[in-house]
Amino acid sequence: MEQLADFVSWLESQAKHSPYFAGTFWLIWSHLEESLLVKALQLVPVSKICEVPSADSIAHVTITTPRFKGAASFWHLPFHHPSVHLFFSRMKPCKAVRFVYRLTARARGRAQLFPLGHDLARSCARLNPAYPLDHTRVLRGVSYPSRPEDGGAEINLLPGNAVTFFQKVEDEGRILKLAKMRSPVLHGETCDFTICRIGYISYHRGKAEPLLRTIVDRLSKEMIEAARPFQQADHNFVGLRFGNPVFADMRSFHNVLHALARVPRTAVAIIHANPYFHATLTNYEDGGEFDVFITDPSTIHLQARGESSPASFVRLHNSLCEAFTEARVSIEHPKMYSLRDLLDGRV
Amino acid sequence: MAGNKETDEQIREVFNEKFKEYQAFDRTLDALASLRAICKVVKEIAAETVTCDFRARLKPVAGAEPYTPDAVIRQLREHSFVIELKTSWDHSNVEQIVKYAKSPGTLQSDGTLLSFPKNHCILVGYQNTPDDKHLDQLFNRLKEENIAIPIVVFRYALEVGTPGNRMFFSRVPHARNGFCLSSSSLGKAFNSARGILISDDVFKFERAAFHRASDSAPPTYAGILWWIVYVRYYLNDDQKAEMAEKGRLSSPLMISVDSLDNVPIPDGVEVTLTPKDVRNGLEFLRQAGLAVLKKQRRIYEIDLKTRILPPKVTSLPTDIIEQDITAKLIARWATRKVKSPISDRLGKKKVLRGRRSRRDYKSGYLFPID
Repeated sequence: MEQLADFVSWLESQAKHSPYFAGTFWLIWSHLEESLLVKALQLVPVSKICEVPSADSIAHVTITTPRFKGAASFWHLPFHHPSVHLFFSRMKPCKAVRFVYRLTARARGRAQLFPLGHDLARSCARLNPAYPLDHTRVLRGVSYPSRPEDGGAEINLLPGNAVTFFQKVEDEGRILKLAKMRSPVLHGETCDFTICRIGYISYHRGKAEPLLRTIVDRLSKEMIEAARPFQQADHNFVGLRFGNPVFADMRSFHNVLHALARVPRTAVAIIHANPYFHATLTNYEDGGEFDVFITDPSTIHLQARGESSPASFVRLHNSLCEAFTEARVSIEHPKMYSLRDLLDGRV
Repeated sequence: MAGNKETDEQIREVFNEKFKEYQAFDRTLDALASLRAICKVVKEIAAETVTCDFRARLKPVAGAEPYTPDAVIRQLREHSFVIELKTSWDHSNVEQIVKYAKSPGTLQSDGTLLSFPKNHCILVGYQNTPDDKHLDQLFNRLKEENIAIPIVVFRYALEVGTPGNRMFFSRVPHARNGFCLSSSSLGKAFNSARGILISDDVFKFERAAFHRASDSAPPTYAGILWWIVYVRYYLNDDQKAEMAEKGRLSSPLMISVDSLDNVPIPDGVEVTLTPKDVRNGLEFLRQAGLAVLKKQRRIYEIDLKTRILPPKVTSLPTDIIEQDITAKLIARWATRKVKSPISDRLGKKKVLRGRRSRRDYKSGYLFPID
């Protein structure tokens, strides 16, 4: 943890010199061993005297297209959960994101950004459990309606305390895109950071250590826990069972389609919409390929093809839950029947 | 304005017709998925089933081209079933059924013959039941050909009911219709007077394995599946990264016409598109304005992207068109077909006659040259 302390003191000193500092931690989820990840992402070891102290390797990403030329560097930090790697960048996140996609694409679906949904963002808002959530202030929040016909993005520059903010987002059924927060850490000291749905957390100012400890310990564990059912999915059917019969009406299929199509870089086509729902989709961002079925009024079934990773499932799950509230996740197998059942119409 | 309205109406008609064709084909795949599910989840049938082949080739009686029924199921105790599914009656059906009935067996991957056992039966399913006149025509012909094996005509339909949606198979009650051998549980089920029902909740487990039946998929279906499922397999690493980042390619994806014979096999798909399906699918995409055929270089240039703009046609159902790639592609195809149809696919080179060869030498010179 000496490495973490070195990194924290360097990070805080950097923030002091810049009024608009953003040191971004990209949360990349991978089950590859460290050495295989290094190979897959083409990381190179860094020298002891490095721009970013404690970093053990670096990824250089260059994009050259007829319209755009650019390069970015991502430092791999040695302190992380075994499956959630931290890559640090100094570039503005909105500019760095295209380089991150290039970086993860090198691993062909074996390393991906982990989406930070509403629950994870809310959990991250408390950096010190000694302080209640309403002590955290949301400085800026960007949210979208879960249905596009309900209007555009809402950007609140001073939306108030975190309890009110998250409650409002939940009550209005909105999708949280990012939230910049100021969370108390100790004796009147705070930490300013931004958490974004696409899978990064940016540090701005204040005490950085509680933020990093939250990411490495608590948040990483919660992320893994949230994805646990999907790790057993493989080629099985995953059922997302909602509390209410939300698909009783065939018009709800449009909302399902919309929720699926909203997942970035995804192509969705309906194979069947009457009387049951069957769509097929390819997510180019993480290589996930799925067939989606609705054959009863309260359940969506996802069947993965190819090398769809648990992270791809998490993305779809997030998007569907945003449109239809929370769902219980289960792995489903076909039941067995007797010939009598078949002849009596019970199959 | 009247002209525009007329064109819009024409587009709507073409769109509806194509959309219906797409949905009707899908129903056949539901039936195949149901049959596969029956063979897997009904204990007695599963225990008797040895193989369930949806890409079977039958040895032809004449000629070299094997016959391709929709399924061949082989069971214990020398039972086998050849299954063919149709949407509705066609005059060529009689010949096809006679050919299947005369075939001695299936061709294995190495080309050797695996004969049909003695308890052999042919099941022919229709979404729209043929009338008695056509069935008489079929059974008369079978009698003329002295075909002794049972031919069972059945109806299949996806029915909407209160317990849920179910695929319904029922033997057609025609006096001369055959019976399956009831020594097999599957045969017993098909002979049932009430028919058999299987819920979509059960057959959905098998549905994704089918991208076509034994016959080629309609170009619409092939084109849409190719765009969503298969195209990813043609991308190189840089293109994959670009799609991951932007959801579209900055320069078109080039696919050589000659390379279309190698169709990628997507994971989990048992009956994949054939090279012919892919060609037809690309032709559909070309007509929809998403692919360009460079005839001289013999390549398709594909404008790959995850977001496709729908055409601005007022008569089309906007709620569907806005959301779904299937509807968008068919709408684009229909709009272009009516407004600006493009010429047919790669054909023979036209030989243009030069100016010199167009000169008239036969009728003599108007001003004779000395």
